[in-house]
Amino acid sequence: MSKVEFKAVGMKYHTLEGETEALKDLSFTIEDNQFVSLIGPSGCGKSTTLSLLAGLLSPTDGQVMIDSKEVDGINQRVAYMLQEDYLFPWRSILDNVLLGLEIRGELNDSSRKRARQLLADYGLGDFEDYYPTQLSGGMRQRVALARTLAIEPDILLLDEPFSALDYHTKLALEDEVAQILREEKKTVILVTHDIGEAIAMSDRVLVFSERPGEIKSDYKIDLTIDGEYSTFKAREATEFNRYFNSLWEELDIYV
Amino acid sequence: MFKFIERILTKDAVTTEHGQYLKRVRLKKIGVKFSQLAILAVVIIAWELAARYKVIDPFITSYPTQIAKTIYKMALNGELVKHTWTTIYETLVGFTLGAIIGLIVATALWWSDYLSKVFEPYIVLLNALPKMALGPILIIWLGNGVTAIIGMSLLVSIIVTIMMVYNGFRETDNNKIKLLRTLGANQFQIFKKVVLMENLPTIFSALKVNIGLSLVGTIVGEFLVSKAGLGYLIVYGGQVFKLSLVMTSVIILCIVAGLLYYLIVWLEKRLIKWEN
Ligand SMILES: Nc1ncnc2c1ncn2[C@@H]1O[C@H](COP(=O)(O)OP(=O)(O)OP(=O)(O)O)[C@@H](O)[C@H]1O
Ligand SMILES: [Mg+2]
Repeated sequence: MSKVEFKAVGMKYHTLEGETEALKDLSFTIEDNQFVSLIGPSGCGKSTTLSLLAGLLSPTDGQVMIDSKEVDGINQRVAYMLQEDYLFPWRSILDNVLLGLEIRGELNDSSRKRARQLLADYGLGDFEDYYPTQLSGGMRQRVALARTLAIEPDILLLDEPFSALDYHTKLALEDEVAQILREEKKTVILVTHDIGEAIAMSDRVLVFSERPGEIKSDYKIDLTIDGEYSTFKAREATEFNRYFNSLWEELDIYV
Repeated sequence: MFKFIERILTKDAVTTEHGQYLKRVRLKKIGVKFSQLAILAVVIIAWELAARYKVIDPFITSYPTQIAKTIYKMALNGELVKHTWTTIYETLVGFTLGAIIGLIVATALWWSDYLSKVFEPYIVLLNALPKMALGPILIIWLGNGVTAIIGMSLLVSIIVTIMMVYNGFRETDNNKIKLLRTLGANQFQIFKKVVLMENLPTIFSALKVNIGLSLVGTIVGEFLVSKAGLGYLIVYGGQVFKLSLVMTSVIILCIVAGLLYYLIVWLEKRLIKWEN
């Protein structure tokens, strides 16, 4: 049974100026615990795909299924992490992490304890009572990750979560997040413009065509890594460059 | 002695250079405060002397010692507290009602896009209208008394509250709202957890503008109908040509305006702690 299934999904946006066909006849499946990256030219409908999965939008054609059930409204099993952290400046770090639990009415001693443990695991245990403005960009994004994982989702949607960070922080955080998510055994869908990031982090890369988005190709990523996995080691794997070059060529046409 | 002053000026310095920096900043701050007080002192003294030596006509300008005497007399016979309190009370009631109703209306407009579209031209129109023009109507509707004055105070401030707060609500960061929606928040939770919180600074700017406007409304109302209050004293003093009474009332009014403004600033500091 697939965790996620898109069946001939079409999505059209309507505005006063006209109609934009963002997705057309989009079909793919994602297995449980898979880490899949979506790459493709700008405006091809990657974010739209995530919004459909999160239940923020409904498709104008076809079906979006999670656990073989059609998505209907916000799904409690799905968590969405956006490009920026969008931490609330008026809430302390801990209160930011508790936001999702609070909204779902799941705030209790054990969930609070779990949230604090998440912060401690990400090296932010001492910052619980700080406010977001007092933290660096990388720390803030880790808080956003804790907020996302605090609601214990099965499926994680990440929309360019590292693109607002500086290069070093981005590399370090990529590795951290990849390790955490591998351990947690979640189904992850990552949208990114960074081919290297996609290869180093995922089990599979889906390449979108230009708008209206369809799957252009589907890469299974198999890297020979000796010892413990890390995105740094993944980048050193012999197959890395081969994947990079083919993906680069696939995208190159559109740049 | 100089050593001592130097030590105070460079207090909490981390290095000597930092000390010099702190000293410059603090000297400037002291300079500003000093100049402010100096201007006040010069004006008071010049006013007093000019009136004493008949450079200006003390009958139509009054003078500081006379004003001080008037205040003292009014304080003794209870007039001071009575009139000042009347004005503060009317202003606070009008202001609070205006703020609450304004906030409710702004929330309703944010809640329903349809409603806001429908009411937009009417709000713009009401905003452009000089509210004072409605004074006589208010008196007829609300009676010749305190209610009409409070009505005036409310009327002057409410439209500005609605416009400022609604515009703030509308410009709430869409991505924060999206984040909440992905977490499953309903409209009420979105309002409470993001829209309201993000706009607390806007709400306070509106309140700061409105505490002044409410006072204007109250004074105008008192001009028109009242039997007590600073506005009444000013009109009464003008009619019987007791300029010292008029000047005294104006000065008390200045102090009241300042105090009311700082009341809002104080509330703001207590509520918005994350900004600094
Ligand atoms: N709310 C909307 N209303 C109208 N058109 C929209 C809306 N959201 C997206 N679109 C259009 O749909 C298309 C796909 O948008 P989407 O955001 O999914 O692209 P994307 O692949 O995420 O792009 P990027 O890589 O730049 O983030 C774009 O042409 C965009 O202009
Ligand atoms: Mg996008």
